[in-house]
Amino acid sequence: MTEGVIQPLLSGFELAFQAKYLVLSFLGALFGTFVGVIPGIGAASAVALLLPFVLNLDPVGGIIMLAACYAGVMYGGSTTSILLNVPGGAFAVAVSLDGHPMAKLGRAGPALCVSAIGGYIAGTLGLVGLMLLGPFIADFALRFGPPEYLALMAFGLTAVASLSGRSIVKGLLAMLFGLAIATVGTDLTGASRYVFDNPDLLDGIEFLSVTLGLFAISEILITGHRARIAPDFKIPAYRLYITLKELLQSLGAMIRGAVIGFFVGVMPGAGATIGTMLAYSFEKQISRHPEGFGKGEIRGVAAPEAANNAVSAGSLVPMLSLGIPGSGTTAVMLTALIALDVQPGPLMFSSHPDVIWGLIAALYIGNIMLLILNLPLVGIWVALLRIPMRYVLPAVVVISVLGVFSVNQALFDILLLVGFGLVGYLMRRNGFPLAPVILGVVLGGRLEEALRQSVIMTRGEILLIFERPIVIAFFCVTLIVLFTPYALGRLRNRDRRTRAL
Amino acid sequence: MTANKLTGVVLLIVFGLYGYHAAGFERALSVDIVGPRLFPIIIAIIGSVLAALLLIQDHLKKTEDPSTAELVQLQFGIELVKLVPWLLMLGYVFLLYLFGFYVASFMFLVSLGWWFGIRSPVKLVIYAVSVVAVSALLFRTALDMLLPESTLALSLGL
Repeated sequence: MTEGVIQPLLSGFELAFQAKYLVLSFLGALFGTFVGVIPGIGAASAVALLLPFVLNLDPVGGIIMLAACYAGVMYGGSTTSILLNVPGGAFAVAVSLDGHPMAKLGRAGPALCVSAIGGYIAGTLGLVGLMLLGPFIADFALRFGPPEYLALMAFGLTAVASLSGRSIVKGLLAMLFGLAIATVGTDLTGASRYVFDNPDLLDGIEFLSVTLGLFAISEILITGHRARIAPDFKIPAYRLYITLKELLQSLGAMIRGAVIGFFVGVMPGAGATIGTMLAYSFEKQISRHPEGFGKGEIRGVAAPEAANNAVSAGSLVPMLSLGIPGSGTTAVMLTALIALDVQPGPLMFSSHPDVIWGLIAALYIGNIMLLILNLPLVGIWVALLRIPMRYVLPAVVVISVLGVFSVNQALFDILLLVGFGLVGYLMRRNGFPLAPVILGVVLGGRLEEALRQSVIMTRGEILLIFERPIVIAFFCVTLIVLFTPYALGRLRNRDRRTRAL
Repeated sequence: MTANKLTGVVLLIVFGLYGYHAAGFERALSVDIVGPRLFPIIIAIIGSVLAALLLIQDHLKKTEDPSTAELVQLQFGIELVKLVPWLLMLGYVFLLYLFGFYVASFMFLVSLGWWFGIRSPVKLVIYAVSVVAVSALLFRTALDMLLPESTLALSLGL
């Protein structure tokens, strides 16, 4: 197998090292990073924005530029998450859970560094996975039917809900709130739900309004008060770069996050949000100090950021080997490939080896480029924190408003953004975690679809899905994840009581 | 009443109403064997059970929840000061409806900037104009995206 990989990979590198492709890769990564920083644009739109330019290139150059842009958006989206608690999209929410607390503690530089290095390591590991395991994993993912997806999503939701706050009940309630939001609008069969005769609600609630409202606007309400009391209040920035100790501390988390992200990315429809949230929850679950998560734990940044980048590599597996786009972004990339006269699918490795291996080699180079590009940028991003918050916060509102408006051109979405800002503020004041709401909103539609299809498949006997081994495995893990924190808490309390006696 | 108890009661009512409303959903297709009710009703049932659990947990704790004091503060309006920026944002949305992006954003930035402590009128104007100009350049010119337009101007045919 190795021989069959190394020779074409070397040819791919020969191709990708051509000056033209290096420049295209750099430009794609740069464009992606800057677009990723702006909330609301997202990877799919960023890639779509490049299409008019890309369609004039040759297939290798086109796909290289799009893939570099995709990786750049993933990195850029985390930057504002860390600095201002303004996620570039739902995929960057998990990074903000510890990234922003790190910034508040004056460690924005190390957080951005770990994000860049984690992205590089995960991107590289993801590409090794794409190269070696891609075809086998894609074949395995094809065995996933609706019941398996139902079980996977139930697992993802429960894991995030039970691990992202202090109270499991509050986490689960937050997740259900997200699922309830996802039911608003027209369902799969055309039935209207919770629309209340408002035409703006027919297409459902725009998830960016929920994400930016809950995170960015609520953050402004909380930080804004401090900015008012202390007019020169800024987020401190004590150190720009990461220490070797911090890097070693987070290395394991990066690798674990990359593995989780890659496997999630391979499954069509699972997406970066569930990948990052699962990586974060897993890291918290296995940590000896889970209480440090949410307060600026570096592993809480490393794991989701690594997962985020590995998802992009993983999502290329079904797109290239099966012709099935796993996400909106890969769907746009697939369109571009078809427009460039390249038909992705099982025959692509033999019919267009130059595109496949050129892309894999270019992505390696693109990863290095992102690192070279982003480490010096850390200083520039951190310099933003030197601007007093009274100047930053109102501008963040305007950018968030434009980001939300750019999706549907609806003023109603802006009203929702502000409304969810108040909800987010009240939730935070009462100790409800926000991340499960986002995951609920993102996965709600797909969860309902999987449930519907499972009911139809089993002709109403839904319990029949438990005859499938993958479903049983996922539900067992879900129960373990759900009850482990509770059991551990009971054990700790008993220990404390015994010691007190 | 503690904050958790109040939240539990509110959520119990919300999930109850959510489920009650779901029970009235009609099938859009007669061949649809699942129907639009199933998923929301599952959410409503689990949500109501969890909200009740929140109430029970709080009751069993016996100790006063620390957030009670915060709730009292909220009731007395001290916390409301923190919500002034939120009211300004709400006003901003209505200004967007009326005047469109440029005027509404300028007015919003000036008022929120003043609330956050920028007291010099010159600084306020320069700040607001710069943010509006940079955002418009970025979204309209560079990314070719539409900016919110005034419905007032549209209805007056301007």
